Amino acid sequence: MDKLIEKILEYVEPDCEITGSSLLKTDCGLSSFDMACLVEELCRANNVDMDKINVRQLRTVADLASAVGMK
Amino acid sequence: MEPIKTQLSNGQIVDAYPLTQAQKFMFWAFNTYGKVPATLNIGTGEYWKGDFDSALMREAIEEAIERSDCFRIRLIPDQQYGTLQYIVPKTESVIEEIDHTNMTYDESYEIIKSWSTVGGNFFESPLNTVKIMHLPDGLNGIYTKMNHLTYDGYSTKVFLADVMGIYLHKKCGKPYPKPMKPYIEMIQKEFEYLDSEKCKEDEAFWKNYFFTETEPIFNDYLKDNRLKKERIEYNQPDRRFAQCFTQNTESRQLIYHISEEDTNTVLESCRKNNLSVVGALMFGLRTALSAFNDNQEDVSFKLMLARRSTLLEKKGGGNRWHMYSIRSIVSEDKTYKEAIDIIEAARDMVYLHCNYDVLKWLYLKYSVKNASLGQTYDSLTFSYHAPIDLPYENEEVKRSSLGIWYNNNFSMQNLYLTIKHRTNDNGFDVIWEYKLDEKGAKEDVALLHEKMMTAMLMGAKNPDITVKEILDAIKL
Repeated sequence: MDKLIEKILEYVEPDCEITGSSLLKTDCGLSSFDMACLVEELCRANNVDMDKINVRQLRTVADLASAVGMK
Repeated sequence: MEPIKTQLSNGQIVDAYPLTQAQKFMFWAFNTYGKVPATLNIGTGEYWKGDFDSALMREAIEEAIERSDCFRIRLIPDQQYGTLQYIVPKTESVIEEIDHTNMTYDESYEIIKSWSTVGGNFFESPLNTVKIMHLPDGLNGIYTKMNHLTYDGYSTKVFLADVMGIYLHKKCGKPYPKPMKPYIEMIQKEFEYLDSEKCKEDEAFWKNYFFTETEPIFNDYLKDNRLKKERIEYNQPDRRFAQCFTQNTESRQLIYHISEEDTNTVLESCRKNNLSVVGALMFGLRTALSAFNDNQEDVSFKLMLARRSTLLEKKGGGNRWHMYSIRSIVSEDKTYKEAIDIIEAARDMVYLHCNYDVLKWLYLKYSVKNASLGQTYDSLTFSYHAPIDLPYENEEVKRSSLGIWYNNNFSMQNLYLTIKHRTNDNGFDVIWEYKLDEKGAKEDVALLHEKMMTAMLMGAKNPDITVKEILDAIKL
């Protein structure tokens, strides 16, 4: 999870601390475009098939971790 | 990429770099559509009421320029690369202070707007300007004129936020803004992409897409439909693209300030239904275009993408705009929510392959479709500027603020729709830039706007409404 949070912080500068329950859009401040690029980068790094992930349905950091195999 | 040692006309040697694909595309469009230097101007103003310290603002601007490499980009012609870019360590541009307090607001507006219609020197000269402004009605602030080869709408706003953050730190002790990012590092990533596996994958994706998709169809915003006329004129009843090329780039704007209440209706509906704002805006636009074209289910237009996801991209400045067609096929039985889901899926597909060179993308598309320059499936271009928070001293000052985009009176697009948020109340400002030589454009665009807003608000108020119900309500 720490690695994922570190990666998220390459995309945004949120005012609050990010945890597994943080909401990707409202708490972290990730836009739809940020999400598409972040998920793609994580899938590529973790050898996960992006076609199997519905990016628009990911709500929290924990959801993302689970989807890209970074629990 | 290693820097290219380049000699300036004064004999000095600098580290220079080629233009990125986004800059090359902008240059190509500039050269293709009339070569009017003012086309590349981005003129903006940000003004507010209340106590204003000009000396501190000057210091803040100077510091912001030091923090933003891209403000200090210069261009130089080059035999091998066409044009190279380099960064000067200090800007030689003078920060003027202009007093318009003895004029009416309208007089001041016209003068400032006129600055945006004048082009400057391209090579070995400063490309960007900032002025400290004192306007009528107690408004003060700054005017910026940026060159589109070095800035886009996004980076202009980020620069402005940096100036204001530094100013407020000096004036009221607010936290100093976080650092900007290096421009050269950002463009290095663009160059790395060109030799990457990802670039090859994107090319393969687009090739496959163009070969396998059914042919799109042109949806006109003019009531005097160009596709219908060309089908008769060329005796091609199955023709699906229209000829829109014109070298006359003179344009004007229609600007609509959408109320805070209507804007909040859309934003709240998006939050509640987990829909994106850009998806809701594109729904309004595509539904209005559909209504203008006999309720056509298949609608395409060009989408401008800022392509800024990482902090390096968000805070590295520069011009990163790429534009691609976004196509959605939405049958009348779909609900507002289902339609946005289709639009968002089309948008996400573009997002994943949007670093691909736009000029190559255009070439690929038009060679597969057997169309040529000026023949298009996309009648208009759309860009949404997501809000970037500008810091203010307090809520009262924020409510008094006025953010203005001054039209440069020239456009490389046939019709260019920009939707952005006002700084004072977050309401939508809808800006339509139409070509002066298109007969009836002003009236037809006004009608298109009305239909777009009605469609968007009907959907936002009732997300289960069907597209057919909305089309019936906005029928021409």
